[in-house]
Amino acid sequence: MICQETRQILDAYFDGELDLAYQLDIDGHLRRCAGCAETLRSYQELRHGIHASMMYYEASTMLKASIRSSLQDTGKAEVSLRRLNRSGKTQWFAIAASIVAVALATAIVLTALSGSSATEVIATEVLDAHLRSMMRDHLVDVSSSDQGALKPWFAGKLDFVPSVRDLTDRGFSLMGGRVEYLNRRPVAALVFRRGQHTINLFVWPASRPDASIHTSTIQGYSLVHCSWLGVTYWAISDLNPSELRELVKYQQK
Amino acid sequence: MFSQTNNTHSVALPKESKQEYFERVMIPHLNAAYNLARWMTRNEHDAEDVVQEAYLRAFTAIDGFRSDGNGRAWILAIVRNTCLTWLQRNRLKEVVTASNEELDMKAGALPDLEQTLILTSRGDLVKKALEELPSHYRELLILREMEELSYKAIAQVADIPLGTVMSRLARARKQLQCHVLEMASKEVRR
Repeated sequence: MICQETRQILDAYFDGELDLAYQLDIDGHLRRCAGCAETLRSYQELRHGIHASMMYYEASTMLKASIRSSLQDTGKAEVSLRRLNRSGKTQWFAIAASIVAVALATAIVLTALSGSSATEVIATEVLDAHLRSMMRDHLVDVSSSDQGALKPWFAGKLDFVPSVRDLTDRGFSLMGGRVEYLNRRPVAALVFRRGQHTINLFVWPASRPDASIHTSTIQGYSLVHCSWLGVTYWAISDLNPSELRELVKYQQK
Repeated sequence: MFSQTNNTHSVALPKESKQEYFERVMIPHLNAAYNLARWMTRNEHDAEDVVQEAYLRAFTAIDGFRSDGNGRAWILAIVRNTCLTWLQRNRLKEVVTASNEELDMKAGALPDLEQTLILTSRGDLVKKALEELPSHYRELLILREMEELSYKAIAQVADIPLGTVMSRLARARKQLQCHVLEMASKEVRR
């Protein structure tokens, strides 16, 4: 495991949220890398500082008593809530109006920027899904390197069946799949491994015309996406971009 | 669900009223609720008002709480929402929309770790720095470091995706470390 990848999930490691395999990977990396080990130590100090400084505020017995008494009479509580709601009505109107205003502004901006910002939004979602997949028990819902088993599993969960290819002979071994929610729809997530690197490949029916392969980098992760024969592919990994491109190219064939 | 508990519990326990059920399930989280509200409003009296209002709201909504759910996350989500409404009403400036922050992919400046290590053990500095952190970072650190909630529970309380919990916590920790350094340097200049 390299620093880049470790930094991305060091918080989850520190918080005990990683699955065992990743935890062991990071254990190993921390033994070798003084920089990452020091970052971890700074987190420990921070936690220690927070715990040591008596920063936890406790509710007074007065507050507890007054909540109890206001619950005493259900009717009374309901009435006071209605009163709260009434006094909040104008507030809600103002909030609703401002939400509408923001939505309008966003719509205008989105239209102005056309497709490029929509791609950015998907890229953020892809990154989010990739990071999430590395947390405990999130990588695969169905663990299989057998594409014959994956297809029917997806067929039962999605309104399309992704063409699943095992690319072990090309150096990408299929680990399994899961369903993700991306771009406002359920999509297929295929998980590959190449050496130490995990790759998430998201697949869904394209809503736009075919687009050639595009590569980008976000927070140290490589992203490759394209649309081909009515299918959209998004791949993300800490692999270098050219290797990731290779995977997407093989999928198209 | 509460409406069911009345029936199912009537065998083992003599009738538990709605209020008794609510108190048994939710009053144990009162300290957590107050602590979160206190850190979000940064004021004792406002925190008490917010918690009182949140508990009343929770009481009327208790039927929606599944008895196998995480009670602390459930009540804290209501407290947080009540806090946000309160902040919007009273301190509009402090309500930070996180959308820009999430799209901003550039990692912030990294704190000097060696110095941070020495300074963050000083509770007074950390406390001051935490108070001045933007509220969407502050709330995550409270939920994680003080309440020790899991990422899943934090996602529920803060109403954000699980992956965002991790990335936002990472930024929150870095910013807190930077704030501590900044404050220490101000202290020296004085």
